[in-house]
Amino acid sequence: MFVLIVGGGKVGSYLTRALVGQGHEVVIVEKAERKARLLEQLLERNVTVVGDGCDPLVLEQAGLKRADVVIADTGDDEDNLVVCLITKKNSTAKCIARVNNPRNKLIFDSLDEKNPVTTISSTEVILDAIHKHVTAAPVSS
Amino acid sequence: MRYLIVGCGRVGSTLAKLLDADGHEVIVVDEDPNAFKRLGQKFKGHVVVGTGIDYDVLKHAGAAQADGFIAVTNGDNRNVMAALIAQRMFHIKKIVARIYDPTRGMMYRELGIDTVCPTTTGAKMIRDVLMEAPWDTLQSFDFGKVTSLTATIRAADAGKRVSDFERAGRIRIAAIRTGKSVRVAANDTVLAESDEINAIVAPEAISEFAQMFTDARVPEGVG
Repeated sequence: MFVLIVGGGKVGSYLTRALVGQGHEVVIVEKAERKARLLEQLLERNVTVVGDGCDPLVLEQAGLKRADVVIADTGDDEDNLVVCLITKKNSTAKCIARVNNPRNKLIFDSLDEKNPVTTISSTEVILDAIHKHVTAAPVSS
Repeated sequence: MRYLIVGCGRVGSTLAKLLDADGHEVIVVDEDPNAFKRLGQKFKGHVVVGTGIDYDVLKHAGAAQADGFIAVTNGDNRNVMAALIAQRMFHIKKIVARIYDPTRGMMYRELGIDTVCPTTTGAKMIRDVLMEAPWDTLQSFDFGKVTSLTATIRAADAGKRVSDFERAGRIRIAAIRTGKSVRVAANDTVLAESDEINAIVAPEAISEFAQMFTDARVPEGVG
């Protein structure tokens, strides 16, 4: 599979390492050149495209048209939303997006009802874990 | 009308003051409380501190009852996200977002969001000033490079027909204003002095169009 990742932060770099290890083809789009170079050193692979992943031309250059999966994992919901908008417009790839504000999930859901964007909110995951912990804990009286 | 403005920068604050002065109810949202200083003492509207891409912040700001929504933060991505929240979660009818990137502006328009692109409009206005253009850029179509221009008919051209100024595929005259009345142009419409024409002009024909309405300059110091 060809996976396109936008955002070369911690999540992006660990994802790349794991996906490459599984034999997938991966390209990471990262705005900061220094960060991109560090990533290449770390991964010992030429997998980065330096540029703004919210720019349709940069995504096209990175291979958006032939991508099977696009992962929007920058730290900003608005940037991830734009990555999904461009992907939905220009390719048939499966979209996965990181969403910080759980409320924003609804907006990502509204982009494509047939082939919905998969959203992952760590805020929500933690909230769920707390909720489970609280409900599982014996009530002390 | 109740208008909700996200982003209290130069454009946001100026627009807020304009709408407020026109008697509208205006609410301005910005992350930075200091930004509201731009609104000045006379502003009668409301301000809300918070990010414009948060449902709860917009709800608190009264988005559910807003007639119009304007996203003018300094980030294109924030503006489109705020606009989508306004459209899909609050069902606000009129939504305008400022998008600096013309390509993306066009894409967002397909989503039902009106976009204003100061990049294209600004560049065209600067070009017009630079070329001492005898027209005003009325409206810039930022989804293409085609420009809508107005020019005034000179005495020397009175009696000419619309077709005399048209160039197939490059210059098309759309409308004519004579005094206060405006009509749609026909090929054989005869033009009078000081009639104002509105033309749709292709980028490669702009200087040609300019020449038709600029008096030929007599070079200084000749003869």
